[in-house]
Amino acid sequence: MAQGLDSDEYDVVVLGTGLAESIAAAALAKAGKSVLHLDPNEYYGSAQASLTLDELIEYVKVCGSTHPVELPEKLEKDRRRYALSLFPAVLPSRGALIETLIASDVSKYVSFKMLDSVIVASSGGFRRVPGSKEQIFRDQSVSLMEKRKLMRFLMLSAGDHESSELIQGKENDALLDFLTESIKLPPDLASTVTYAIAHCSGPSDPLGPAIKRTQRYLQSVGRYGSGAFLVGQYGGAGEVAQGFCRACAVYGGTYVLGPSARMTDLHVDDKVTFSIPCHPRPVIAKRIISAPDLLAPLLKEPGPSERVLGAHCIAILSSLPAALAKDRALGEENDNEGIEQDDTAMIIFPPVDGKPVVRGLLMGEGTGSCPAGQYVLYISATVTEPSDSEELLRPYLRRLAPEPIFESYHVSETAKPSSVAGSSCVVGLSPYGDNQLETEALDWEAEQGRAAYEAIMGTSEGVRGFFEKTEGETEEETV
Amino acid sequence: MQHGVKRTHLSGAAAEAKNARNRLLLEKYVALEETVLQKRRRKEYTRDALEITNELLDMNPEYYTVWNYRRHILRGLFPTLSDEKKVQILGNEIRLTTSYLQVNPKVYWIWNHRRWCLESIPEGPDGSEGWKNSFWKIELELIEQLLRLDPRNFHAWGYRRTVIAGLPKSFPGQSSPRDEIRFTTKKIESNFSNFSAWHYRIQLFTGIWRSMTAEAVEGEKREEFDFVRQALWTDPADQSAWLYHRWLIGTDSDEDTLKSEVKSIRELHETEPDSKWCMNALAHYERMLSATSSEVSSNSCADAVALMARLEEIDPQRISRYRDWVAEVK
Repeated sequence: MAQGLDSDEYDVVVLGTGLAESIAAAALAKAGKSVLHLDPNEYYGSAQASLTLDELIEYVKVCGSTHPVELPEKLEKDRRRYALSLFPAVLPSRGALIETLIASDVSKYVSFKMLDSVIVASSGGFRRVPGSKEQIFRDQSVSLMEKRKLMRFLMLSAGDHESSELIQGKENDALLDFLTESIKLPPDLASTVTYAIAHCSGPSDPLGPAIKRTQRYLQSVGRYGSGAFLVGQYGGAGEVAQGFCRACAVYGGTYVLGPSARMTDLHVDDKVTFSIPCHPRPVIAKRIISAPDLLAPLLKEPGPSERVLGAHCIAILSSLPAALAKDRALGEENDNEGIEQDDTAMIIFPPVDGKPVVRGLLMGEGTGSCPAGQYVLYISATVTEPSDSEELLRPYLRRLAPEPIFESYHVSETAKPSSVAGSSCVVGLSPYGDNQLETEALDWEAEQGRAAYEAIMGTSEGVRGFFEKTEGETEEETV
Repeated sequence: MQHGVKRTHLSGAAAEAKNARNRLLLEKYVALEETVLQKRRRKEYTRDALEITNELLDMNPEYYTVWNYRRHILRGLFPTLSDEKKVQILGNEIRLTTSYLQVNPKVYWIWNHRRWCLESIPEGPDGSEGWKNSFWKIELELIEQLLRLDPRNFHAWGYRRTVIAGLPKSFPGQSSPRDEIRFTTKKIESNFSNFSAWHYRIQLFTGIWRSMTAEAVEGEKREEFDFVRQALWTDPADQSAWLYHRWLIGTDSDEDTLKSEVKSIRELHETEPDSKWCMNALAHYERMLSATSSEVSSNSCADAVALMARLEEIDPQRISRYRDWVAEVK
């Protein structure tokens, strides 16, 4: 029985509770707009959702995976203690999302911890990535000369590289070649820098964007700890999206999830009109914000044809992968205190034998995403054709964890950024479509959220800025 | 004051309101100061006087005269008090300095006052070191915290030395010089641009090596050379590591050590031809080499002088210094 919304009319209707959508919704509600936020799913987060174990298994089935998986008996009773992310990503300590979290105060709804380690697969096994001055100083496997060269590259990236003579004219050259020819790093180290510091996806990735990314990460080092990245608790991106939804509700936004939020009869002209099961009359909004995947079918338009495909593996482990175990041999002992093992880690497999770069993210019990003693391991790769994600990713999983207690595989399809139906009422969001989802996509979502806010509010003088604090909220100046 | 935090600019009504507030505060401060100094002149060593110094220090914790006065007051009160009472008062004093240090961790007078409090703790209770132990426990936690927040605060390092040196004999968490060296290792590994940490390391090894055989010392020195070399090669621009290296070489290094260090530093100089500290060190060591062995003498000298010429080019502000150095050599 439709209870009905409080109103027939809203300033903005937002479709989908993904991260960009939720950020835009919260910002608009804070700025005084009436916001109706809908999600046809029963859960928050859309493509960034975090799911319990049984929800994930259901999701994989619905995805049409060729490898549906059953809930193992041993994990049955704990199935709701998992927060499994469909969007495994880390947050740079400096960047659009963290700034948005701080400006909006949504940081008080979510918690983060430092990413403990980054390791990279190399010829002899795995090695820790010396990605900062401190790590380079301590790394006993890097020679003195190599330390100098590594530092030179880091300082080059961190500084005003655009005007550097060493780089001018070479922005389109491959980073990997630059590292071996101009910086003269040995092949193993050049590969480590390319894939695990600059986060490139292939040997021909150009120098320009790679150095810009490296600069961003270097600027993130040390802000909250000795690394560059933060990991969100309880499933990461999904929690953050929920945090923004909560903020939106606090500022007066209206939320409907599930079947009663499924729109029909959507018309877009000088305004937006639609029907939803939870309301007896058509609803009118001045603007609509949505990503293409949800909107196109409602407008009966062909969706964007270009899609980015991701192969994903989500596994649960009962012990820390051997590759991450710290022991005295590595010189990481701490005589008075016990050895503190990693709780979270990023694992990078450089491309080899025609396979794409494969990235892993380990989240331990400290992140609240699994019961004590276990770890969640995400392994993902961007692929160019629909492929068998299990066939591709299983060997990588096995290399890290020969006997996981659970593993699932699925493929994700994301519409590549493109312009949506050209009506001025529609504010289209573009999902992240490049190759560095793990380290770049969260900031991308924040930037999309901001862009949607500014598309609706405008940016002229006197217009309330993105999460701008009101006079009552500004703290007293103190010296 | 914190680095990188911009001062926000006020204008109009907000600025006027702030100025008005500041004027009131100033009037209050001046009146309070006059009261306190008057009492001090009159040698009022009473509880009330103590209270009033509290108020003044709240407004200006850097006023060392007032800290001195406070200690005079306490010294005046103590003879009439039981040991228990003294301990209670000293506890209050420590807590007071803790709250000030959170905001002003680099003020000499606050550290001095805290040190005085520690030194004034009586033996007891009942012939044990119980009171001292409980105070020292707090001190160790404080320096851990402060050095975690700012590992380069030399006050905190100096205070750590005081605390470690003064650990009561019965205190459960004794820290040997070796333990302290491990502590400096931890701090250096998290950021080797930390002169205080290297400096403490120098003092610790100096003490330890006094009672070891020459051979054992040589072995440890070699490890220290390996350790500091990692820092020199990672960041040749960091002065603190070069200073540590200079101390390791000392004034009486044998020829072999000098030769191998010179070789390594020369290699570094070739990859970083403009590194000032590198060249300074190299010139200094070449000069030492030339004094030890006549066979390398003239070559080393020429090398050193050439380095000085290069230094004049990249660091023209110190031309006179480099020329003086060359003149001395010749």
